[in-house]
Amino acid sequence: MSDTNRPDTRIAGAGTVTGGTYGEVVIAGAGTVSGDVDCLAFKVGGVADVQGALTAQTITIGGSASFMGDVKGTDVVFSGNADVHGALSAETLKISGVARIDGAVSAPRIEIRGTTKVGGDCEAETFDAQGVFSVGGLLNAGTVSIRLYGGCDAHDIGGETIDVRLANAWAFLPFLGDRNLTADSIEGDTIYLESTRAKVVRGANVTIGAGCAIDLVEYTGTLSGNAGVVASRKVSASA
Amino acid sequence: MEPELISKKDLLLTCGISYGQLYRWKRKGLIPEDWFVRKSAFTGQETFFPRGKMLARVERILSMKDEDASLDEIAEAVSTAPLPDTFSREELLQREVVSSSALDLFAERHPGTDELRFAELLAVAVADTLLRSGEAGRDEALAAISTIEEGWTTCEAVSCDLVLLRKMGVPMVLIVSSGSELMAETGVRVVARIGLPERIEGLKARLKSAERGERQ
Repeated sequence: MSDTNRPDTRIAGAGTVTGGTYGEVVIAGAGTVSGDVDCLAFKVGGVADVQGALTAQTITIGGSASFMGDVKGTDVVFSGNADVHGALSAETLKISGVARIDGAVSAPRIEIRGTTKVGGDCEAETFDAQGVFSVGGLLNAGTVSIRLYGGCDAHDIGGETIDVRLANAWAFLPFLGDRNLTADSIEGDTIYLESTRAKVVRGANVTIGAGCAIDLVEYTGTLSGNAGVVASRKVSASA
Repeated sequence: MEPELISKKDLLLTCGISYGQLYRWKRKGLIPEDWFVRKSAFTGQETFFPRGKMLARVERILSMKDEDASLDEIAEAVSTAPLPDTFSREELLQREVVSSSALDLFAERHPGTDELRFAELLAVAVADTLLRSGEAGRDEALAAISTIEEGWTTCEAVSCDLVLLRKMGVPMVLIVSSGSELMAETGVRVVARIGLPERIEGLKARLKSAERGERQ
């Protein structure tokens, strides 16, 4: 990847990289990045403290990294520990470690296998979570697929297809605490819920599975399985 | 000036669209973030929209979809981001985008400039509206042009209205954020209040249809 305009840089022990334009930035030891960085590949195996914003094609955090500014990438993989104080946007975002993003998250594809906390809104075409997450704002995705391995929450959830199920995790069961999803409102076209607590669920075709506590369900098509639903009503244009 | 609101549920029923569609449009930026008004209702929080603007926007999206436009194309058409192109005086006149008298005002302010940037074209279009309404005079239209040109960075960042006030025949032009209330002393008349996001959208539609007309 060497290019005179985009030099590669590497920290193996302890060091500082100044902000700027790079090819590949590798931090294997403990490194500080002072300023905004635009690079092709950003890899952290050790500990990195990025004091500005990061723009890169691929971002791979295997160690631990914190970012003061926004993070923008094409392929973003957080398998270690990542802390983003700004917003995060990507084409594909895979989180298998622990990630905390204070701002909004936006990526056509989001895959969560670890633990993720988002302070703002979270937007995706496909949101696939098999882990633990918390979204402070609206989780808005074309397809929301959640397999519960622990306590998950979002302020609101909206999308086309929303599918929430208890993970098939009998092997770990004794080690897992409460496994449920909590949200104020859940709105979508096709909704299937298990182990979900919500004030209101609105949709076309709604299925309420085991372990739910829903104050109100409003539907325009069909409602099946309504154990745990306090009130439900069918809404139609003539009403 | 609280605009009349429509609840999300009523909007979906009235327009025959689904929750999934609405959330998709939101993700694609077809509906501005600040149109989502959250209010507490008996079921907790509910979302409302400014009724007139929202119904017009949904109708626009659905009609563009009928013409097989992609969501990205629709997003571009309804966004208030300026177009990168410049527009020559002749082409604007030929396509009947703005009147020659409004363009003359611009020429007076910038002698010798024949190519207009989008922000400048917007300023001219607003001046044109003011002149055509018969409510505003030449100097007032000129003041509107300079106000938009100078305040453009603000107008670009947040949705704004251009307001023309007059007291005892003395005009004053302001830019205020959309939906904000105006209080003025007695004797001040609000001659015109023009929403810039709507003008930008209208201008883009006009340029587009003129382009299409030429191709045929």
